[in-house]
Amino acid sequence: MMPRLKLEGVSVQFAGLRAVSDVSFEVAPGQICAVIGPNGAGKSTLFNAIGGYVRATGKVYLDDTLLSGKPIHEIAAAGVRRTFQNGGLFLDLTVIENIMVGLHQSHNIPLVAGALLLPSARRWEADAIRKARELLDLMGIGNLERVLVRDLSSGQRRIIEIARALAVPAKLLMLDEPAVGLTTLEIEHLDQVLKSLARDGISVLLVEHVLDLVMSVSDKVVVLNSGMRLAQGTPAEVKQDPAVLEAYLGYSELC
Amino acid sequence: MSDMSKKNAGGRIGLVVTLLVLLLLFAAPKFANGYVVYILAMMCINAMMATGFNFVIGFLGQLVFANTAFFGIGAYTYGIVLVHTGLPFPVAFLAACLAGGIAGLIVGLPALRLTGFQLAIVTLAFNELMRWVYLHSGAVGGGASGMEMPDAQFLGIELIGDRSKYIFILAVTVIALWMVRNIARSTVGRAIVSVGASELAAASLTIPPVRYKIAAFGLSGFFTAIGGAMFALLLGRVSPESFSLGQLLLGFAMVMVGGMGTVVGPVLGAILLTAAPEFLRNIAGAEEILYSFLLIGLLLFMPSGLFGGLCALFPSLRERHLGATP
Repeated sequence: MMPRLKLEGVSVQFAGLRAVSDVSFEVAPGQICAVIGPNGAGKSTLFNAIGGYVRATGKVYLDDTLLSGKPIHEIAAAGVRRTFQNGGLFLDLTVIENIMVGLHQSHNIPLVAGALLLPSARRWEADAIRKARELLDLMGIGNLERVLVRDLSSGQRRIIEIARALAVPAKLLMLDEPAVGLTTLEIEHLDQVLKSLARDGISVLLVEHVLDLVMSVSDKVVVLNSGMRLAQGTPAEVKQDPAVLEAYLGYSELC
Repeated sequence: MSDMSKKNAGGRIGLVVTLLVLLLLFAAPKFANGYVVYILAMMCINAMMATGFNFVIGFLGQLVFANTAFFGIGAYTYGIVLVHTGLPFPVAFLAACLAGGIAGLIVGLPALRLTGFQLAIVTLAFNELMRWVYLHSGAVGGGASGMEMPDAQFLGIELIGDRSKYIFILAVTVIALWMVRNIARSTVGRAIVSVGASELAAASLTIPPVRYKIAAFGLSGFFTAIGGAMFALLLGRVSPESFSLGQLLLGFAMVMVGGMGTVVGPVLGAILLTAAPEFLRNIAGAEEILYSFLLIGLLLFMPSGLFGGLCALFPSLRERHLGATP
């Protein structure tokens, strides 16, 4: 099967420092792939390289399309959606408004039609609201529709950010530490959400420190250390890799 | 269900109040004296200036000081087209708005590279550059002494005297503000706000930041220039001193006092700061001091502006301003 995501020798250099060094791997459609490694291993930078947020060398393909060199919004439009480690929601907008910003690609009403409230604009707007509500109901947070994001807990924000990233059909979802600040119950919910996304054929790339979640949901794990790929394989394989144990994972956590 | 019907009732009350206020405003020339009508017209003009300003400093959240330039470009373009080309009034008026929009697009270009204080200084420089242009406009714009304008005619009605001009100005303001409200609630408005909040997060949702930054500047120029053209129409003349730094600070204060990043806020700010000096004028000697205290007090006790204060009192108002939860 053709890989959904393919990285060929991706490197990122920051003022003399090689944050990501010659990393290659593939993610299949509907596969959940976790990227783990100690702090500073280059996990977030790798995300940024795939999404176009930093200048990188090497090649990144989504299905057959070369993403490298494209601006962020075009890569997003090609089907790569993400969440941010520190949260990327718009705090002063309500939950539904945030989701509607996520619908930009499919519901982009021309300026003049919007300004004059032409029937076409009304129709699209109503449709966007309906879609946003459906999505919120699907995630089980329909009751939060009119709440300002500023007033929500970090767990609620994580779920809303994932919902927003998926407002338009995505091919690849990149989640940067989605379990930070979540309760055990919320992590279980996230676990379910990720598995159901994968069943729908969405590939998920996951940077995560909560290893229980990583081991539970991942089909594949890529281990980074000092910007280099140290190992890759199924969670069980990675657990047993001596180099991984040596470099990063505390023995006690894995055995 | 009861929540929904409460909301609908709230919406209906809002609509009725809006219609009554509009009726009163349009009828004002029948019962108010000329001075009051003139002040009402100035409120409309300032409301458009503050509204245009708000597109960049409020919705986009950038420190931009080019808006007196857009205001002046609107006023001068209107005058120059009317005086030198002999084209009819509606053409001159539209040309003025478009010129402001184009100026906005051009000023938006440096904003792609600069932010914060650098952008503030560059746009301030543009303001001063335009003042130099007015002063050296020679026969075209009348130079330091400015230019007089012929009377205008719209749909067969002579716009002579403050009363007829006021009706036209009020009508244009109402339509323009309605458009601004619609834009703020549309994809374009939400995209501008999201780019202002976080360019990376917006881009991650397929919103091209460059396009919407430029759009915010263009819209800012367009709506500010509407105010400028109406200003030239009301006064019947333009001159460089109308577009000073003081005017810029006044516009900035209106947005801050009313409530940045909202549709209603700048209008409230414009109404208050246009009316306040007129009321304070009677208190000889204390006018400036009281005006300053008013500004300081408002910003101290209502940091999110008059509209922000109103929203704190009536939370249901918030939903109806930006991004529109239906």
